[in-house]
Amino acid sequence: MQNRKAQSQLYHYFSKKMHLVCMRYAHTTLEADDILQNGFVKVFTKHHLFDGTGSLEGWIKRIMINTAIETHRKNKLNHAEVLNESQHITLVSQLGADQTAYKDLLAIIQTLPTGYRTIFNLYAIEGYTHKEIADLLEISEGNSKSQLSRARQWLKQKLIKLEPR
Amino acid sequence: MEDRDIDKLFRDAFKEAESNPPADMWKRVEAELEKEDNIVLLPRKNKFSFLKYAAAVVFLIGAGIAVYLNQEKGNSRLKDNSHPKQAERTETRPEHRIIEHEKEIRVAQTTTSEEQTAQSPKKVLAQVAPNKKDVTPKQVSLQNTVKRNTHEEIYIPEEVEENPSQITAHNIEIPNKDISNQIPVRQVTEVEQLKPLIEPEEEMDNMYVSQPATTDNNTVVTNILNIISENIEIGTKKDIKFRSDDEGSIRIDFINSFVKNRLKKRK
Repeated sequence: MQNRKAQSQLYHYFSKKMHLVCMRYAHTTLEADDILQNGFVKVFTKHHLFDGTGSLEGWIKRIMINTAIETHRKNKLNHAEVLNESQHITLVSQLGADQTAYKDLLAIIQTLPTGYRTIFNLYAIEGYTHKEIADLLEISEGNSKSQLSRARQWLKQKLIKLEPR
Repeated sequence: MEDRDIDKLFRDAFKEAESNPPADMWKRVEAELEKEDNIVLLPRKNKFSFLKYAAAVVFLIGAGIAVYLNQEKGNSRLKDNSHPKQAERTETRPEHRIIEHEKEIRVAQTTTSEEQTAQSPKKVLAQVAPNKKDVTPKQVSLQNTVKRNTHEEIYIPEEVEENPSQITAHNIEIPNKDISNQIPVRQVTEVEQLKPLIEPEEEMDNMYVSQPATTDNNTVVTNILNIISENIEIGTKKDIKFRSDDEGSIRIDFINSFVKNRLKKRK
């Protein structure tokens, strides 16, 4: 394929950013890798669906997010799974060191149950409305709101633990 | 900590953040794409072939329904009118023939009358006249009646089966004989009994063909199929019947099945 080179360039341009997006939605790094792979395959096989409006980055990001949600749907069993509280998060607090600050936050996010994580990502970071989230996840708006507030509660607790003692 | 603060904290943290995917990720994606490229062509073929068959199936079903509906119409008409029509035919046809015969006879009579009636009646008159003198009025009346009879019989063309030419021959002869031997006239005109215009079995069959055959042309296969359909059917009526003909082809009759469904839907 002659455009393989171009695809490679596109991939290398966005891969890092998109990998982080996938990390936010995934429970583990392995899962994030899978989402990234499937997402990029979709980007390259359905590129004709990109209508040119809006940024390419936004479009690719949306594909990643949708792929992540699909993956969660497939592994629905994981939805019910709530991380064992006893699983202690061993984090070296690096708040303040700007470059790596997100890593702590990412680690916290990844401990969230899948439902909470998805909704918090969509609402707080991506900036979706509750209506959009409800449509995307096929849940009610109220459900989305309540899950968001519970996700925030969860994150607050974790953040307090992270605060330098 | 406020909700907004939490949201903002995470949003800002991830804004420009990046993380390194596994080094072999591009190769994985590339391999996947190669697979897709190979696969993409095949499904298209499959799609088309599938469409072909689907179209064929749809066409067959449509044609079947059309044929069935036509048949249904024809059947209902036949069921209503089959027997009366039959009767009508047997009655009407002779009439036509009668009319034809009458016409022919009339024509013949007119033609012959020009030639012979001019002669024969004169003969009749000539011969009768002397008789009349000897014979009693009763006999005369007899003669008249006989004459009438002959005329009547000639005019009843149902019994006439021979060619018009022959008829004319009779026609002409009768009065002659009538006069010579007054009584046997009848024998001449008496023709064979009225025959049905439809020759019995074979033609009757032809006329019945369009009616749903009630004969059981059943082979082992169709019998089995019938039994199965009877047992499967939930309704009390038999909706599907199987038959086979001498050549071994099997025929399936759907009886009122579509009608029933429509009614059900309406309810």
